[in-house]
Formats: sequence, C-alpha cells, structure tokens
Amino acid sequence: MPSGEKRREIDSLLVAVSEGEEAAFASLYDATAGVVYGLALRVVRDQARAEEIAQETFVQVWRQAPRFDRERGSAMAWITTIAHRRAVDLVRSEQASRDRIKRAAVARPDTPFDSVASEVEEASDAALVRAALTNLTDVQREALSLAYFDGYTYREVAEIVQAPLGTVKTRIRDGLQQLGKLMGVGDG
Amino acid sequence: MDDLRDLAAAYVVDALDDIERAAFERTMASDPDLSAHVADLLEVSSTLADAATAEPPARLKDAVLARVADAEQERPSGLVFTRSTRWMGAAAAALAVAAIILVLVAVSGTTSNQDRIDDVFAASDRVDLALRSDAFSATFTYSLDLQRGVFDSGSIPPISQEQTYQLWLTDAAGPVSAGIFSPQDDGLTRVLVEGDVAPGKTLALTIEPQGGSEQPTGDVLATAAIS
Repeated sequence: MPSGEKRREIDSLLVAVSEGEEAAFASLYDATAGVVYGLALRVVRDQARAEEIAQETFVQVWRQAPRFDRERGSAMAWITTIAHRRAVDLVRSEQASRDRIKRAAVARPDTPFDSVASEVEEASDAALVRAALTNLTDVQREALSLAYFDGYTYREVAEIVQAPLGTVKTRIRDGLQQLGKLMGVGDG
Repeated sequence: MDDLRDLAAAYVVDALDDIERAAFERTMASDPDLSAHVADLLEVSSTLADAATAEPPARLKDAVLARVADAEQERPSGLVFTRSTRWMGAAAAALAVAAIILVLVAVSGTTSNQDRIDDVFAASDRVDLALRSDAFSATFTYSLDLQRGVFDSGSIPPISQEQTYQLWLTDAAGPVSAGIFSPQDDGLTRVLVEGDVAPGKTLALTIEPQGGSEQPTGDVLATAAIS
C-alpha cells in the first residue's frame, strides 16, 4: 500500500472523480496505473490482456466513484481489488483448473515477483512490501503468492503444495495477518 | 468464528471459487462485523498489489481517458446522469424563455392549473420518480399520454432571495427550462411541467440566480430519467 500520505492523496482524488472531475481522474490514473497494470500483468502474464483488464478497471472506477463509500476502506484497496478480481476471473475462465495445477507443478517461481515485474527503486512501495514478504514463513509466502499472484483457489493451492485444505487456509490467513502487522495496515 | 475468518482471508486474496465466493458474500451481507473484518483484510491484501508494480504503455492512458470521456457515472441514488457538453443553441434559448413565462403562470396556482396537476396524478399511465440527493428528496410524477408532469419539491430546503431553483428537461440536444420555483414555507411546492415530457428526456434540477437562467449555470442537484 502506498505510504499514508499517498494513500490519502488517492482518497482525495477519488472524491473529486466522484464529482465528475476528469482532470482528477487523469491524476488518479497517474498515481495508480503502475499498480493496476502491473498486478494484472503478473496474474495474467500477457500484456494485451493486462491492458484490457487495466482499462476495464479504470472505467469501472470512473463509473462507480460516486457510489464508493469512504467508510468501507481506502480508494487504493478498492481499485486494486477490482483489478485483482478481474485478472483472477480471466485466468480461471481461460484455462481449466486441471491444466493450471499441472502448470504450477512443473514451473513454480521461487518468489512472487519474478522476471515479469520491472525493476523497482529501493524504498519504493514495491520494495517495501517485497521486503515484508521475506519476513513471512516460506509456506505462508508460498500460499499467498500462489493465491494472489497466480490466481489459484485455496483448494488448488492445497493440491499444488500437497497440504490439507485447513492448513492452506491457515497459512493464507496467518500470512496476511503478519503482512498487515509489518505494513502497519488493517487491524494488525 | 474461526472458520469464517479463514474464509475471509481466502476471500480477500480471491482464493475462493465462484460458488464459495457468492456464498461468502451472502454471509457478509448480513454480518456487519464480518464485513468490517473483510474491509480491514482488504487493506492488507491490497498492499500485495504494490509488489507487482510495472510501467504501463502510454497507449493505455490514452485508451482509458477516451473511454471515460463518453462514460456515464452512476449516481448514488442509482439514477444515471448523462454529461452533455453541448448546451443550447439560439432557437432553444428562445423556447426556454417562453417556457419560463408559461411555467411562472402555472406556479401562480390558478384553478385550471390545479386541474392540470390533478389530471397527472389521476392518469392511468402515471409514473412516479424519486429525485434524491444528500440534502433532500423530491418527486416527479408524469404521464406520457398527457405529456405533462408535476414536480413536487418534497423536502427541498429553502434558498436565498437572490437564488431560485430551476427545472430543466434535457436530452442530447441540450437542456430546456421547465420552470423555476422557490419552496414555500409550508414545504409544499408543486411545479407543473408541460412541453416535451417524453421518453429519452431527463428532468434536472439546478440552483440559478433569481429569475432563472437561459441555460444551466449551477451544479445539477438531482436528475430523473423519463422512460
């Protein structure tokens, strides 16, 4: 999550967007497109599809901005959640679960951020969360990564890592909780 | 609720399948504590997105801005407001002035106008639309057969002497004034709207300087789409 100051800036931009201000929307795009596009690209692993997902995400943000309820969380969380769900739904609709599990068994990336992601500056938001992720246990990081970055369901993750369903759910839950503490976000 | 919290974590990283996700969302809808917990978790899971940051191609921004230029925003009340950058031409402006005069007569409340108002409420094809904003709720009742509507100002707050509320009927060709009014102290103001009350038009409400304007200058407070 971007620093508190940047997060608040994005919240303010969204308020202006909700009033129909196109200039604010362009600024919102500038502030968030790297994350939205990068996330889509990492999940769907295809530039054209990632661009489509990013485009649909931003159009949805524009359309629904007036209905966004500030009480329910940050603008950034809302925006990334839209993008993430679209990306995950796309990969699941395009390839059968069986095939996707097979692919994972063959080629599991060591880290959630492999060569698909571009270089990031030290101490940038990206570097911060990557550093936080190294502080999770291996199995927590693995479960979170397979779920979040590869779009597997927890059942599929359980099959890939050969662990019980309950164990995988716990790893995802504990991993998130730990991440929250490290990033100072959420109720952690 | 251990089980629910496990599911909540899986839910926020989109690790539930479609059926589980739908079931979980139903559970959330009736459990505010769970919803609040999920909202907190979403703040955490969204930090993961940063790890994947990548520079998008320049054409993406062009494509997004082009799409948004034509896209309508969803108003909080569920009404759709169509942004039109084309306002009135000279001919329509003349019509608007005539419309203001007509409706000023209507608002003065002569008996025949009361009949015309009653007819709308009695019409067999009567439609009632709500116009809502944070500050008030009002209604617009219309009949396509009669090509006539009645705007009831409901809980609209009073405004200063230097200002007036103004109604507009708009479509792709632009807005035409449909009347001006100031809410009465006893709260009830009904404005007879005659003229082009037809499908495809939108009734809009703005605040204008006293006496009304030829074209809208104030922010649109609420709209209702006639269909």
